Amino acid sequence: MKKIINVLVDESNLSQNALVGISLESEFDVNVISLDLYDLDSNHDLLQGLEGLLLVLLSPMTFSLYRGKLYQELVSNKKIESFELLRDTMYGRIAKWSYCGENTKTSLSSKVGLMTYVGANSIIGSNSSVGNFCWIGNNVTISPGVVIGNNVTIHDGVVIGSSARIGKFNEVRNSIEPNSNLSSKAIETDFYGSTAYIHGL
Amino acid sequence: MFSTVGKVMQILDYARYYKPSFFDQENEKLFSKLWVYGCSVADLPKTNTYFLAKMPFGEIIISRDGDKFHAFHNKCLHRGHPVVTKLRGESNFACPYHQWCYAKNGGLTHIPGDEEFYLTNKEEYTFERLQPVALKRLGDFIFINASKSPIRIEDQFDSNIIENLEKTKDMLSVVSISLSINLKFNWKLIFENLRDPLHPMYLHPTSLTQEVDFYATQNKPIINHEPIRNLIEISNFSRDGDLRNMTAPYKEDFIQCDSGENYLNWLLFPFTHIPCPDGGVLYSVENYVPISAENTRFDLSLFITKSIGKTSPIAVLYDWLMKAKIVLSEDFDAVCALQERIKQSDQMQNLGVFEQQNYRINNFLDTYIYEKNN
Repeated sequence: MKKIINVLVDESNLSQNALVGISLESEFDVNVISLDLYDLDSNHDLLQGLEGLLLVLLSPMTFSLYRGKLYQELVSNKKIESFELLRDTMYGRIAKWSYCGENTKTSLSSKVGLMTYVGANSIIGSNSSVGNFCWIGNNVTISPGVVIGNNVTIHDGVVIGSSARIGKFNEVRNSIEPNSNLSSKAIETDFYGSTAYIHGL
Repeated sequence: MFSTVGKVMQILDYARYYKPSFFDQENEKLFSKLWVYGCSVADLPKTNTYFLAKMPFGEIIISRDGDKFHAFHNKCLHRGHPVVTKLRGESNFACPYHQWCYAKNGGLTHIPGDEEFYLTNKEEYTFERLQPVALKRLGDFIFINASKSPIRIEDQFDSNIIENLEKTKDMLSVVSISLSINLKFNWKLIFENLRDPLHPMYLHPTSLTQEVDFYATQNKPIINHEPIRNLIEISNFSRDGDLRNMTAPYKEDFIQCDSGENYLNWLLFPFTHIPCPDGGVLYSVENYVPISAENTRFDLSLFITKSIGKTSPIAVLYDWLMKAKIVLSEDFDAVCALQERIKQSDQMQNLGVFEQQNYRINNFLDTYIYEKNN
């Protein structure tokens, strides 16, 4: 009998595409749960009633406030286990409720934070670290020595040059030169190509 | 030729949305004469800081000196060079051109080589100051008026507007998010959209209307065709609907300036919109600054009240930005599409009865601002 795996998704295209891409059916009975993260209270009973393995495939749209709240919900349920795909290409440390896609390779001494999604065919270089609640797309290269803060989104195909620093909350659409420093006080957005600035931190 | 549908209140000539002559009159008779939003107290987090407000009538420095605030033109008394170029900073004002120095209140304090090169001395120029601009603080929001004889702010905004803004006094956190976008539409079009009580139902069916039960879709409009006689009739504060989720989990971790039950909405003529979508914690200041007849700069500032719990204010603000950009994009796409077609078409727009406030404001502009021979 196959083991049940619960997969948390939201309604975004990113989340739904990630779900299509992971092909778990051959190994597990997949129980897909679509969450309304803006109304987590109504999901409380559902989340506390879960048992077995759990995989989180939530889009970056919901990665800041509500992912933090969701994390609190999940850790308080002792009947569920975090699920990380233990492929033979995973050499780094992957924290709870995070996921790395097909053919993605994490190098020695690399780290992936809590509840972070990494798509397929990506590379996380040695001595690199990816923060909590991040979304790393498909075919992304994170070169050695890179540090990525919490709540960062990196879109498909981006190459982050070695030893670059990406501050929290950034949304990275274009490749980043080695040794660059993307401040956490300036966030690129897809809102008419604007940059949002954080003040007062 | 143009067609009319339903009971039409007014046929509007499109020229007001793209002809520079209309814009010039608006700038001369409206923007530089009225109170406009300058910045928030949160933009001036401590004494000795300034904020540069870029307005159609010029750049205005707003500076803080303890609990006092000053506003003056960003134009050196020497040659008119900008005294500051950055949007925010510390108020050590020294014009980069010849280092004329100014105090926090805009007073001229020092001219390098004054006696040698300018044949003057400190006693002679110490009373000179950068051209002042009137300033009024309403709650934690600062308004400015560039007119040499400004009207009373109470003659522009009614007591409902002022009292509800005053509730934010000393309540806003210094943590905020801001962005600016140049948009290709006339500033009036976006406000006509914002005053249109039906548009959320059709333009935001999967975004904003999922969060707010708008009263406008439940109640029949009160018909008012009377011409506007006072400025005070143009701006308003309203509670536009009940929030579907009044108990969002972050709210208990922040000071609440209102009951938390309604979508709060300030529409401040000429070009400021302040929605508070969660009823008293998050304040979004949308300044649609007119740049030309066909261009508007959208300055968005997201503010949150002071924290009294563990939730990170920046996480709430960021999450809100993600939601707001969806609603705003829906509005901007629609209004950009209107602007694009305005010059291409020989049609004129016809306003329905429910758009009575837009009709009344256009009538007001025709009567008091635009000359007949545009």
